[in-house]
Parts: sequence; structure tokens; C-alpha cells
Amino acid sequence: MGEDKKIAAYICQGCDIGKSLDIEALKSNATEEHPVEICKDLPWLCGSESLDVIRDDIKDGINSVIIAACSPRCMKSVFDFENCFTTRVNLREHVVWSHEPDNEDTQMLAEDYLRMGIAKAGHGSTPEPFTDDVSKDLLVVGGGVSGMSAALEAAKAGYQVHLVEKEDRLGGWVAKSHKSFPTAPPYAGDLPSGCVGSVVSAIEEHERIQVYLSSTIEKISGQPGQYDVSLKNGNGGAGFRAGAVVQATGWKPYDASNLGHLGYGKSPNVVTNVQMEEMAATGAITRPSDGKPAKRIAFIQCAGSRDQDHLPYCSAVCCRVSLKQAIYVRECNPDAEVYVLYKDIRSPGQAEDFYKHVQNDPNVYLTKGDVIGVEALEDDTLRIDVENTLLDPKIQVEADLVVLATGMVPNAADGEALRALTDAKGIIAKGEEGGQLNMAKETEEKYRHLEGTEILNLDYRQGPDLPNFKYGFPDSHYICFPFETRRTGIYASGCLRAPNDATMCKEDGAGAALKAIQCVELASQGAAVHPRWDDQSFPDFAMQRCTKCKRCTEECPFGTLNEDAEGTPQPNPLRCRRCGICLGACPERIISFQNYNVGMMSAMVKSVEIPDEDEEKPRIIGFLCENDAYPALDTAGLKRLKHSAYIRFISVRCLGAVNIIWINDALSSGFDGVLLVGCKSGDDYQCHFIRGSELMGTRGENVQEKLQQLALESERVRMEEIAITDHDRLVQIIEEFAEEIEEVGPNPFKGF
Amino acid sequence: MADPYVVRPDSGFTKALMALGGNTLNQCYQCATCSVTCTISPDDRPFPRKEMIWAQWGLKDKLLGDPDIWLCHRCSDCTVHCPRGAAPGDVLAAARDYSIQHYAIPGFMGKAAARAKALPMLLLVPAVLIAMVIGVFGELDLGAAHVNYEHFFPHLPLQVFFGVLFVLALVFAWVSSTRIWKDMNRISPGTPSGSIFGSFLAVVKDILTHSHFKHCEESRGRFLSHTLTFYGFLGLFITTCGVVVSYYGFHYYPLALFHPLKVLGNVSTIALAAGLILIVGDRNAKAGTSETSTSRDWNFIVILAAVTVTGLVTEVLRFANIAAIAYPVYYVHLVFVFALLIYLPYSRFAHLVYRTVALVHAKYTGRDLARG
Repeated sequence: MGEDKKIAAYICQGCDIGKSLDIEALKSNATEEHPVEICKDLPWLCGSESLDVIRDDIKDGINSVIIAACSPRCMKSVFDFENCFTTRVNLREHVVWSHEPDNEDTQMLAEDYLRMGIAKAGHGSTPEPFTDDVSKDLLVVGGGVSGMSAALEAAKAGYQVHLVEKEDRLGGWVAKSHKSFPTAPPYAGDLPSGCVGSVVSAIEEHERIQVYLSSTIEKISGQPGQYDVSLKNGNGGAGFRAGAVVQATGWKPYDASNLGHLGYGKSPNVVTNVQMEEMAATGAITRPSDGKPAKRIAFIQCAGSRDQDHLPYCSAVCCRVSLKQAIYVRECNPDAEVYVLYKDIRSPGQAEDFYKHVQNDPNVYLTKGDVIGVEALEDDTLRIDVENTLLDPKIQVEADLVVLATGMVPNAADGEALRALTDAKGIIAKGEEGGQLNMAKETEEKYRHLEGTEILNLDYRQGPDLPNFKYGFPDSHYICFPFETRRTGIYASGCLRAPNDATMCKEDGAGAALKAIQCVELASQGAAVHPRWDDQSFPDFAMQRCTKCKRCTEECPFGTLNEDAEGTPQPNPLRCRRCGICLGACPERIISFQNYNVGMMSAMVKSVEIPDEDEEKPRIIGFLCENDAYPALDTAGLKRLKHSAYIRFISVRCLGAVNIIWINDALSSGFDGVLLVGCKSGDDYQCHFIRGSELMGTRGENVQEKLQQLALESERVRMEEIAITDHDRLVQIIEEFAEEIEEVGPNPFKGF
Repeated sequence: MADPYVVRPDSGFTKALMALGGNTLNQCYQCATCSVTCTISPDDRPFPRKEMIWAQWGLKDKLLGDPDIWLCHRCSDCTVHCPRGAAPGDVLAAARDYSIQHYAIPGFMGKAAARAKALPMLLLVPAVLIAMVIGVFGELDLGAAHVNYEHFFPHLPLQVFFGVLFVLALVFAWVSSTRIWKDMNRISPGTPSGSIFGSFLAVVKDILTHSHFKHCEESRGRFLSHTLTFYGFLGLFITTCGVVVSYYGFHYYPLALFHPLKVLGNVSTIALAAGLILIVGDRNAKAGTSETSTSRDWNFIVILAAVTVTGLVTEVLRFANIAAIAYPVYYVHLVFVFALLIYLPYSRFAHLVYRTVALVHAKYTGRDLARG
């Protein structure tokens, strides 16, 4: 790329930049060792006159521009020039707004940033997108409320949909339930029923929806836009190509056989809410032990829910289901008494009115309390012990029938565990003696019960199904990026994503369908999906130097890379989210993006002028994750919070996209310290690429070893995790680190 | 630890409370806003939250002997702040109403005093009885030159007749009080300290100062109306007793208009009338909103108002000296006085007994009120 690169640098005078810096000195000093074709300063770069100047220069042959102005997060579309690689240098938020004006150190900072920009421009070029034929058809797995909604909404939006359902009819749990709880005012009166019938017929009649009943997935191979799907069914199967997948496989009831303390399995008169639904459909509510009408029915809420020994979470609907079933009981038998024993009644939104409606019946008795146990008496009566009630500290309630309001377990397969099982079996089959064999046997023992639970059967090195997160749900970022999973192009919807009621499942289906549509549309342009949705770069592997260490295939959070039999990575560019974690992982540094690569970052690090030791001006390099840390520093600038002028920041795609060599480069070129700031890791993480901060944490241990080898102080490299709102904390971290580095003293490699 | 309480819900009792003005009780979801809002509820086992769920489950055995339902002075702070519109103030009033009926001796009297339709019968009984006594001892001379009520109904038979029946009513009230006291001990045992009599004296002081009324936020007017009514009644009661003493002790009768006793009586009458006007006005203003008034309430208010009005007219007619109207009005007055005093344990007047018992019980068992 080198020879035909014509770089021009433009320095903005606006937003305090012009009046805080010596622009002439900036221009001459920065370009002294890093020459550019043109270096101009203009008032207000974003103004149309300035932009015209830049466009004229581009017409005259400039193909790489450096915009030394505001944060790259501002004016993105303004500084987007066709066929021209744009490099942004943040002189506003990171220099003049966060440092003293007309100051030697501020001036040096600005000059270094411009040098770094020129170095970056020298190593980057406009990405040529990966374009190939892509299918924009969608595969929806699961024909419940959520899956049907996804299929119908996508079809209405003009996309061809393949809807796969393992049972012989559509509608899922809602179609099986006797009646539904009301979802519209006045939340009273007769219970609605059969609310999925019209949706089922709309789907069956829709010309763009192909329904496959009694079918399961045999295999999905390929990548977004190019998934080849094969189905298994009684008719010899089917196959088609799809661009993206909505997984809406719903939920299964929590296994009530774990609830022996609540009498399940000990008395036939203890049933689950699902069994109650079936009983209500028969028209009579009776005691299973003798078939006599049940007169006293007790509902035990949160049976195995919000309980650390069972499901720790709330399943969202059980309260309303029990209230609805209380109405079944009362409609069946005017003398029947209903007891509802709850931890908290959760009736979100307007459903509060439904709760009030049921409460109004004097034969429905509700109390908060802790159900201690259920015991069957000789006459088949059930005695329930409840504590901490307002009725009395300890009470006993007698009932003919106990209904356990059990929660939802997502119908998800554990992709990572299944992969571990397959790998373990492979090792056992090889039969080579050693520690590995013992570990494999343990793994096989641990996960044996998962055999045959595969749903998607993905042809992914990292496993045949989605990796699961907290509580076994595969949604990868519930708050910020709903529906997303750790597989690009596969979106979780409905109760697979989180326990939901039918209304929310319907909305979820529409949301997941939209994410799938975004994915196929972006894939057709060779672009990534969120959060780097406008990035058309993709990783390029210099395979001849690959040592088959498999770190890239293992560390990619999105399962992008498959492997051949020898372990050589096989890229799937459309699965890639462009986070750069593979680039950070690769010890041979063979992975690069056209607009983000090892050479570029090393050049940026090395372009900074390191003052001599006797000048007593330490230099620190900071790698800021572009997702949270960089915006946080922008906010700090916006708030005019000052921080040390000895530190230079480089924006990285993710902390996981930092290659250790850059830290080496920094220390060997005389930087006194290295600060790495990423998003929060852990289960309730905010890392946009899931594992970036966690991986950097592991690599950081290697860095510490390296420091020891070089006889450098371990304090010189520090890693921090912050949230996007932590701008004040970030400034504090910078200040503290700068002070610490001054105390540690200059890097002994300075000047070599 | 005590045996668990075996809950046997009774929707019949719940429905009865709902019919007595507690029709909103099922709206409660035990958020405790009521107990927090209440300025006189104790910190330990505060009311009315627990009473609300007892009412919902129809736990008669817990609710009727619960002293806390009587500790409530129904200022309606809870009702106004209830986020669910469950009107705890009305539910406790309904529980008190039911409780009066439950502990009444004889039982049918408790029921009768709660019915609007029973009011004519309740008045007919004294009307006949008093007519009979007058027929035997008195003398009806509508054309008499001087109105002298003693001729119409001689004082000794009058005092013996009313006295005996009133004492009987007090005996019944005492028996009811001991029954409810036992139940209060069962439901709210507390830690008794001091003497019951000492607690009683402290309660009398609270009653005379109306201290609990002052804590109410919503119904500040109640302090004035109840004080006027209470002291009006008390003043008239003292006047009546004073007249008896004056009659037998000093043979001084009838009293002159500016005799101190007479002045006390007249001032009390005006206070009572003013208090009643305020009470009726307040109840009408709140009808259908924050406070439900039951038939037992109205029966009592009607009787008390009739006593006041007929008493005043009786006095005026004596000075006006119009026997033809004075004697019938005096007769009517006596009928209402009978209803007021003799029905005390059954009418809304019973709150004088039960609330006092509950306040004494609370003091005695260390359940102190009035945080504010």
C-alpha cells in the first residue's frame, strides 16, 4: 500500500483548538519526521468551505486524510470522503478540553497525537468489503408465539421465512393452555381463549412463509447470509439456504420432581400449574387421588423459583397464571375456596387490575408467606405449613389439591458443554494414556446427560448450539443488545431469551426478526453487525506463517473460525464482528484488518517523541477500548475535567484486540508506563465483545512475566475496567497512574 | 414455640364485614401504607394491616376480640392514603360494628341496634313502657295553668324506672366487657404491668383531653365535633345528677334559669347540638368517599339528636308554660333518653365501653399508643 499513499493533514481551528495551541508549531514539528503531502489549518473543518478545500485536494490525488479536530465519535458522516481513508485525531476532547491552554506539555501532546495520526494513516487503507452471494431468507426455529411473530413480521417486511416446528402443530404453550389471562382493559370478565388461532392461519396462508411441522434441524453450516440448513422429518427431510436464524425454542417447565418438600411425587393431589391447565381443559377440577371434586385448592407460588436451590430467577407469568387458574376453580365450583400462598404477587403493568379483580372474590384468599412444606394426611387432605405470614407467624392451611406454580427453564442446548463432550469423546476414542485422557473421562461423565439435546446442530468449531449465559439463557447482553447471542446471525427470542408472557414474546419475535433482517442486509454489503455495523473490514490471515496454535479459533467470542483436521483456522468473514480479538491473540501476528493491524499500532506507539530522561517528562501510552473507555474520556473532556498531559491514548476495538507486542514496543521505545482500560468483565459484564477484558486479564499475566524478564517494575503496566458512565473515575485512574509512574521513575530503556 | 395456627377461612364473615361498610376490604394487598400512615398505631404489630388480611380470610376469632380495632379512632388517614382504595378505616369500623353485635347481651339487642328498620320498634318499646308508668303514677293535664313536669311524671318513679334499667344496661355492658377482655388477652397478651385501675385512670385522662384525636391528619375537625358532643353529653349528665341531688337534698326544684346547674345544662345542650351538627355535616360530606356510615351510626345520631332537640324544646315550653305541647314533648324526650341510656351497650354508644376497655387493655399490656 505504501507508495501510492498521498496523505493530507487538516487541523481545525474551531472549538478552542486554534486559541489553545500554537498551530504553526504543531504543523511544522509534527510533520518534521513524518512528512505528509499537505498540512493545512482551517477555521471550522466541519464547515462547508473547509470541506470544499478537502474535497478539492482529494480530487487532486489525495487518498488519505487526517482530520485533526474533534473526537472521532463526532461528525462521523461529515468527514466521510469517498475512496479516501480517513484518520481522526482527537485534538478537542483529548487535548484542548482536558489540558491547560498555551502550555508546553499540551502542545507536545497535540504534536504527538498528530504524529500518531500520520503513522496510522500510513498503515491503513479503506477496506475492500467481502462480497459474495447472500441469501436474505430467514430461518425461524420454533413455532410458538414468539417464533410465529418473528416469522409473520419478517414475512410482512418482505422476507422469505422458513418456520421449523418440532411438534405437529403451531402455537406452542399458548395453544395448549385452557384459557389465557387478560391482556387488555378492563382485565376482568371472561378469560380470553384461543388467542393464537388467527396467527396460525395468517402464517399458513402467507405466501412468504414455509412451515415445516414435526421437523428438527439436522445441520446448519456456513455463515450469516450463507447458512445451509438441512431438516429431519418423517418426509425424508428438507434443505434450504438461509441468511440468518431466529431461535425461538421457548421453555420447558421446571422439573417438579425436585420439589419433594412441596409434596410433589408424594401425593397425587400435588400437581404443577401445567397439569392444572390440562385438568381445567377437561372441565372438572378434582382430586387425582379419588376423582372427587376439589373444594379447597391451594396455589404455592414461586415453587422452585426465586430460590437459590432451584431456579434463582422469576419466571414472569406464574403469578398471573395462578390468578387465572383461581378463576377456573371458582367458575367450576361456586363453593370452592382458593388459597394463594405467595412470596410477592408480580402482576406487571396494568395486570395489577387483573390481580385486583381476582382478589375481589371473597372465596379467593391470598397471603404472603414462606411455604415450609406440604404433608399428606391420612384422608388425602394436604396440610401446608407456612411461616412469616401476617395471619400469624406460623400457620397451617388445609387443602384438597395443591398446585405448584413452577417456573420456566429455557429450551436451550448448552453449546459449549456439548462441544466439550464431543472433544472428550474424541480423546477417549484415541485412547492415548495420560492426564488428558482422565480429564476427558471426567468431562464425558459430567456432560453425558446432554447427549442428543442439540437443537441447531451448528457446524461451528465452538459447539453445535449457542453458548449459554446466566441461568442458562443464551441472550448475550440482556440490557444493551437484546436478542443478540454469541453467534452472529443467530438471535434468541421469547422465553429462550428471558421468561416472558405471550404479549412480550410476540414483541420479542418482532425484535429478533428485525435483528435478523439487519444482519442479512449488512451481510449483503459485507459489513459487520452491531456494534461495528459500519465496518467493512474483515480479518486477513497470512496463513503461510500460521503455527496452528488454535488461539484465534478458541478465543473468538463469536465462533467465527472453524478448523480443518490439522487445526488450520478457516475464516468465515460474515460470522465476524470485527472485534479484533483474534488479532490480539495471535502470537505470530499474522492476522490483520485493512484499517486495524499490528503494524499500524506499533507505528503509532513508536511515532510518539520520548523526551530525554533529564527533561523529567514521563510518557505513558494508554489503550482505550472504543466502546466504553474512549467515550468516557470524551465525556471527561466535554466536562473539562483535566488529566495528565504525559499520557497518549490509542483507541482500540476491544481490550482483547490489543496485541502484547504493542506493550513490548511501548516499553522498548521508552514509554514509562502502559495503561489499558476496557469494559467490565464477568457475568454481568458490559464488554461489548463478551470476553475482551477477561482475555486481556489473562494476557496481562504474561505481560507481568515479560516485565520481570526485562527487570522492569510490575507497576508500569496497569489494566482497569470501567463503565461508559465512569468519566470521573477514568480521570482519577489516569491521574493516579501518572503519579505512580513518576514515583517509579523513568524507564531504563529510554534513549536506547 | 406455639403450635401453628390452623387457618379456617370464613367467607361468610368476610361478606358480613363487607355489608357493614367494609366492602373494599378485598382490595388490600398488605403494603402497610395504612400502618405507616396511622399516627397512633404502635410500632409492634401495628394495625390496621394485619386486621385487613384477617378480614380478608374471615378470621372471626382473631378480629372480633382484637383490641386494635378499638384503638383506631377512625380519622381515615389510612383510608385516604391507601394506594389500593381498600379503606382500612371503614373495615375497622365494620369490625367494631360486628364486634358490638357479637359481644352484646342479649344478642338480639346487638342486632336490632344495627338496623335502620328496627328503630321504630326500638322507640316503641320505651314509648309503651313510659306511657304505662305515667298512666300509673302521673297525671296528664294538657290544660294545666303551670307546666310542672313532676305532676306529669313524678320524679321518684321516673328515677327508679330509669335508674333500674340503666343499671341493668351497665351490668350487661360489664359482662360484655369481661368477655371481650378475655379475648383481648388471648389475641394480644402483651406484657401486663401496673394495675388495671391505674391504666384506667390514665385512659380517663386521655379521654378527657381527647389526646388521640389530636394526632389525626385527615379529620382534624373531629377533635372539635367530638369534644363538643362529649362534653355536652357529660355536662348534661352532671346536670341531671345535680338536679337529683338538689331535689332530694335541698328540695330545690325546679331550677331557676340562672342557677349554675341550669347554666351548665344549657351550655352543654348548645355544645351537644353544635357537636352533632358538625358530626352530621362531616358524615354527609364524606358519604360515599372516605368514610362509610352504617345504620348503627345513624340510629345513634338520630337518638342523640332527638334527645338534644326535645330536651331543649321541653325546657323552652316550661318557661313558655304551654302544657298542651310541653307534656307530649317531654314524653317524647323521655322515650329518646331511654333509647340513649338503656341501649348503650348495643348502639354506637357502646364505643364508650369497648374503646375504653381496649385503651385500658393497651395501657395495661404495654401497647402504648400515640407516637406523635
